[in-house]
Amino acid sequence: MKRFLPILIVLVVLILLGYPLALLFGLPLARRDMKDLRKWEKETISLSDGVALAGQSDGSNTVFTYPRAIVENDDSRTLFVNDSSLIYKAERPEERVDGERADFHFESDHGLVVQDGVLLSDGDYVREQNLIRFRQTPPRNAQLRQYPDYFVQDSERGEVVLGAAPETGARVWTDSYTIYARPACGDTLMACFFSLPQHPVPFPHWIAARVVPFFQKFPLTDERNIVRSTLYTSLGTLSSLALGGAVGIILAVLFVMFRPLERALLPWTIASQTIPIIALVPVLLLVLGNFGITIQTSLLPTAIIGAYICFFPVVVSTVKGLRAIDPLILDLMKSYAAKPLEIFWKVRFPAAVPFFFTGLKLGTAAALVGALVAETESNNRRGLGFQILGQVQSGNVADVWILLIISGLLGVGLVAFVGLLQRLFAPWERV
Amino acid sequence: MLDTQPNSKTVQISDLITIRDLNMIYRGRGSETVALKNANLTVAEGEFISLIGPSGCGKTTLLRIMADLIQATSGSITIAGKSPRQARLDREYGYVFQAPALLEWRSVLKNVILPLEIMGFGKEERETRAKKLLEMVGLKQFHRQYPWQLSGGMQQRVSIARALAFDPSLLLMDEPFGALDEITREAMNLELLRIWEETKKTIVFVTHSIPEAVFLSSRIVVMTPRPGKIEKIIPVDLPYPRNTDTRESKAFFDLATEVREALRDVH
Repeated sequence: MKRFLPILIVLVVLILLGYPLALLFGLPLARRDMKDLRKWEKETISLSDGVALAGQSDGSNTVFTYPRAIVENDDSRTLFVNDSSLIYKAERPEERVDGERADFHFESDHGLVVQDGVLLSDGDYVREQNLIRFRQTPPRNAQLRQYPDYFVQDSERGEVVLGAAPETGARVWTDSYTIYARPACGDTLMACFFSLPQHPVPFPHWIAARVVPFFQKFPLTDERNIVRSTLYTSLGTLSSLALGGAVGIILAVLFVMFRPLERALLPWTIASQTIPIIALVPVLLLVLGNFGITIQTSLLPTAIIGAYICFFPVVVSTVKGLRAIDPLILDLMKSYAAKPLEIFWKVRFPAAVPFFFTGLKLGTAAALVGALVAETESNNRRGLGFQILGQVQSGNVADVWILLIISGLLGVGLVAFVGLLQRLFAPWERV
Repeated sequence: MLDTQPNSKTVQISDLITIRDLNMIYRGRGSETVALKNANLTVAEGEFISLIGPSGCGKTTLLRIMADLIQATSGSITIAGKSPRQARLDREYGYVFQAPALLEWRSVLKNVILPLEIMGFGKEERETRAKKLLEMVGLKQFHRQYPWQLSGGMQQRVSIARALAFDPSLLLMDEPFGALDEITREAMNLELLRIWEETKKTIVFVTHSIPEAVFLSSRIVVMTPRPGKIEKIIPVDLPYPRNTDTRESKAFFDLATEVREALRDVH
């Protein structure tokens, strides 16, 4: 119990710190939302036959005459048509975020509303002058902040108000308007805070609430399953440690046995550590790829990357251990007329064992970073690194935080594991 | 030259160590330190010789030359009729250092076994010998412990057992009890005397302590510093076996005084 007390204290402090931090980072965003809301409330946007009145972010209104508009969001596209006499052909503009290109056709009647190429029946919406009220709430749009200038939607009430950003031509696409929904925001700052779609720092209990769904997100048969991801990353780190530890010991022994070799290689060893791992990883993967070893199919690239950064503390520490021999003991061995090899195996090597493990412990954290970085370069959907990248890209902040905590715990666990090995291989050390 | 063959331990020489006109000069950058000047000494087999003197008088240097841990600048020295180097290669002596110098990753037993491993003793003999010696120094039940689990005095006893493990005829001891408190030291002195009488080794013992030298030795070599040389050799004719009563006898005090005066003359 006593051993876990420090961890417990850290945990409590972190949780207590989580709440003010969440407010600290979330409130400015909420304030911005509130301002945006007021701004849009001020503006009136009207749509009549062939005319769109767009509200601009500076508060002024501009009248545009376009015959039709497409409202787009992630899950649906809705075409508003004001001219009944034509068959309309709308093409998705190329400037879309996802870069996809698709044709879709709309047959129109006066005042038709088409969603995702499907004609909406009168029952699905109610149309008033400049307002479309949906019977069902349209989905919230996460892309909101990419185009803050133009869109209006109150998703809570299921209303869409049309608008357009007139300033840049790219946004007013041929024959269409792109209209994005905005999140609902309350009247007060705190209401806005709680209606923020994403929180850079979520409240700890929000993260806690995500834990179970997060673990259940993928079944064990899926390589994206969190337990499998964690195991995959541990495996990557452990193979890094094995490789880095072996290279470290060999180099350290060579350095101690042949001083000139140390003088020749040590500067390079140090220089190797100044190359940022993030720059090295792609190059290394390219080189290995030439030999048919890819990170998609093999753990070797991960092991090499991790070993590259974790062998260094092992070398430094082990060299120190091999050298730090009490001169009296060397005299003692001399008095026994011991051979150099006997001195190495009976004195230097065992003396260096605790030093080796100390270096390996330092290298563990580095090896974990190496494994995570390597995984972000892979698209085999394995490992925590891939998960973190994926959740960041899809904006699941709470899940990113869960992954952060899991990575941290994994680091602690791996260091503890190395500590256990140390106890096993150097049982003489006092605890 | 049959009798100077290496490894021949059959040679019986009553003088185990012969030192003639030994000089040791440490050369530093532009300076020379005379650590030992014209030292002459003969140690007979079975003797207990103490080297005593203040710091810098060359007593440790002399011991290290005997052990071939350093080489003298000039003069001659023979150990059991051999050069110090040959004596070292033939494992003629056991050396006990100021500090226990135990290998911390080895248990007490394994520490005593260490020289036996290096000298190629069989596995079973190693264990029997080491256990017997640990029994002799009174540490039989501690053989599984690691050195750090033992007190300073116990560690030094392990180091003595280790020096005796391969049964050398000569024991070189460099202030082995210097780091111990007075009470432990006196107990260790008694124990060392018992071991000496039991094993009939020749012991060369370096010390700072006058009572210790008087209590243990059959002869005391008083040394003086700058340059380090042998000032006087005082025979100690206290009868063996000695015990705590010996320390309180008048003869003991007289000898201690003699040694003290010999040392004082120098300053």
